[in-house]
Amino acid sequence: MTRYLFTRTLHAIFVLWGAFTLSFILLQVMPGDAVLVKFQDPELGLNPQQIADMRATYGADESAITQYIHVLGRTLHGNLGYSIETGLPVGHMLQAAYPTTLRLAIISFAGAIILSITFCTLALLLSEHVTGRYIASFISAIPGITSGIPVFWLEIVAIQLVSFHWKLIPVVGLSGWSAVFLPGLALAIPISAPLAQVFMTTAKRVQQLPFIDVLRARGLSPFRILCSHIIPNAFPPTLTVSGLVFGEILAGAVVTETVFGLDGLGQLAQQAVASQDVAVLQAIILISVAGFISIGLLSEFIQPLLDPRIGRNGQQRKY
Amino acid sequence: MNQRCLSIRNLDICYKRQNTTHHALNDVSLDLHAGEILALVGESGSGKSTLGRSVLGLLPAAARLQSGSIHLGTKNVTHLPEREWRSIRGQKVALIPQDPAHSLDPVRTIGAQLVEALHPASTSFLLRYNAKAEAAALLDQMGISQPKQRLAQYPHELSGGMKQRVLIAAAIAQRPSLIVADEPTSALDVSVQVQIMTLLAKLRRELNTAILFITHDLALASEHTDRVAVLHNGKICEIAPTKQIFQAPQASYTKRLISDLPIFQKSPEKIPSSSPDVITVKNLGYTYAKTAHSDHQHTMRNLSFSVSKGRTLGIVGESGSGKTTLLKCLLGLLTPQTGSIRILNQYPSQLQGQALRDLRRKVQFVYQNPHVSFDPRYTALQSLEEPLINRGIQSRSQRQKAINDVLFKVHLDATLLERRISALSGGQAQRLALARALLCQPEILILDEVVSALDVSIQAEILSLLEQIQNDLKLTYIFVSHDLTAIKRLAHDVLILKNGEQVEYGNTNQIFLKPKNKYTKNLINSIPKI
Repeated sequence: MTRYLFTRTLHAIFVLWGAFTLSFILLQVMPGDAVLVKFQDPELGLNPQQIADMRATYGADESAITQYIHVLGRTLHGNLGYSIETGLPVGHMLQAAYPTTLRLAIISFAGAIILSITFCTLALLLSEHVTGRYIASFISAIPGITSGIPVFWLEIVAIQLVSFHWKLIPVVGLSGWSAVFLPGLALAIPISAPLAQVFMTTAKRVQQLPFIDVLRARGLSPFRILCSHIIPNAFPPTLTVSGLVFGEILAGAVVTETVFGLDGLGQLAQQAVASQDVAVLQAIILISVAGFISIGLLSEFIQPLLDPRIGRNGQQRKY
Repeated sequence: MNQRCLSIRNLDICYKRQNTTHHALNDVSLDLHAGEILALVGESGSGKSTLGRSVLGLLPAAARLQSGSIHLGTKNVTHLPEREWRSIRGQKVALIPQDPAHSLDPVRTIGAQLVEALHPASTSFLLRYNAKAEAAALLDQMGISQPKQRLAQYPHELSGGMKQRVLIAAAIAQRPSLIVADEPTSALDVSVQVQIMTLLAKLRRELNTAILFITHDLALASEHTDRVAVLHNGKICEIAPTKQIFQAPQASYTKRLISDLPIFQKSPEKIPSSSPDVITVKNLGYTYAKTAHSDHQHTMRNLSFSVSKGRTLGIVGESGSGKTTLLKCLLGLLTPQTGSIRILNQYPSQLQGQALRDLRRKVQFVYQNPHVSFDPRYTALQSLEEPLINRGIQSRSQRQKAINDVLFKVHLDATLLERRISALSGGQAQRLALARALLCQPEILILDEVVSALDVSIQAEILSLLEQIQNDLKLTYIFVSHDLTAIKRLAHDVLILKNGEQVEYGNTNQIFLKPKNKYTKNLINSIPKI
């Protein structure tokens, strides 16, 4: 077990380093740099000599390799550097921004899981019924549609209806959890789509398995078979996919925070891209990758609890 | 004793698919009394499973019950709505399924599934908690050791025979008066098969349960059953007490089925044992590396045997006996750790490159399940052309001639060549697999359970075909089977394996007449006698 944890940690560190390096290369390839973006503004009236001096103070005129070594060493010491745009330490900026995004991620993730499972259970239950079958096939078509709806459009509609028309939740003047409730739910809808699709497909496959007929032959009701056999069997693959869906939440956070005017990591990332603020961008990339890795690890640890065949004699513990 | 449990009258069931109607059952009538075992024997497609499912009210959606009636006890269940069936299934009629490996929920414990079988309608936590003791008692009744510990285990931690016992326990949980056993032993090893049959016989004595025993294996039906019903193309062609069926069969179909049983057929033709040895195995051993999660170490120890040209060596062994390891060593897929293998005067472990490939071509392998040993996207023709192209035969007409020759040898019609493998029957696909192996011009054929997936009459055909090809081409066979009657039919010599060790080896007839080892005796005694 210790060996397993050790190798997993090594993997994680390697992936983090790879993401850091790749993002550094990509940001180097982009024309111009943050110093130019900030100081080339004609209104500031700086001459080329002064701009070159500025670039020298920020170290932007050195070779790519030197910069890379400098930035990597600095990051390893826990120093994420300074934002060129605001002049603040990147660590502080992240500290202020992450709670909003974390709340948003939790609400949308939990919402997506609840939404997809409720939908699928409903569809599966109805499909047992003679007339319910038509409603069921209608319901199971919904995930395919919602996965195609752009997040921003859905969110604008949500604001229009929930906040302005029905006046249920105000858009401005909220803080903490209440501020992310509506955006989180809006983001949950497109995210629930792939989860629901995987859940539905697995559940339908489980329904065809021989043991379901054996259970029916024991006199179990369809509801009982669904709750205590089909859903537990269909859940593990859904969990695996939900780890991947985390990436969609991060991408969705950028749009959502912009639409709802939330000060989170997404907003920060969007501004950093606009101003080519390399230090901020790299810090956000590192955080997202770390989040991705931990979600993956977490789902890997929960899997054996849900499916006893994994882990006990599966491949996972071979390390 | 004479209470009637099941009576079926003039039952007609058909399947409607798009525009075609397929009659699965045609005017079927039968009665089953308490404490009686009725064997329903038929080949695949005879409608025996449809009959079993109709008794449970679990017919597929495409099936239509057109006429006739089914009574369970005194209750007419012919057109019972699904909701009412729920209180009958489990309580009055239960199912023992075919494939124990896929008939238990893999993610729930044995205990949870047994408790559910005991109280399918209850949601009370307390009741379910108390039912644990009942469940343990059930397992004990099935002859499972340490029943309390088993309750916390998951299906994948039990052996096939153990799973089937759990499924039988679940079936009798509510003391049903009728049990439908749908091929309950066909997925199990021979010796386990006998244990399960004994268990069923014991249950019927103790609980006075009627058992509808569905099987394709006529030999199996000859023991432990009171009556046999022979089903052919959806019609019952004969129903009579077991003894009478085997001693004086009336219907011509029954007569043919009985004559197709390999045990009644002649032994393999005598071949002078003076011909040179083509396979010599000395002190062969292979041990799999120990893994962290399993304390059981699979080993194969000290195997020594030889096969001379034109003879057949039968290999018998249960799962885990080392059969597969031995075959892999013979095919050169595993390098033996100790001992030596000499094939056609060469040592495969010392060969490399072209020489090894040449040797592999001469040793061909035919697998148990013909449908999965072909590329599903290939037509039969493409599958047959592949080995010829690998042999470097470029000209199309030459390939065509070779294929026609081999099709004639295996008695396969050339019109089937355009079909994909999924459109072929089991017997046809196995003939095709044989044809593909023969196209490589082998000297040795390794046949791994080649007939066990086939119906009895097809089995007999394939066995005769194999013998004929052996005589024509002077081939040497390694014939692996768990079916001792098939071994007796085809093999000149036999090698019996248990737990990776060689228990007995020698002339087939001698071993079958005078087994020396206790295990062999048990094995030979477990062959159903007719």
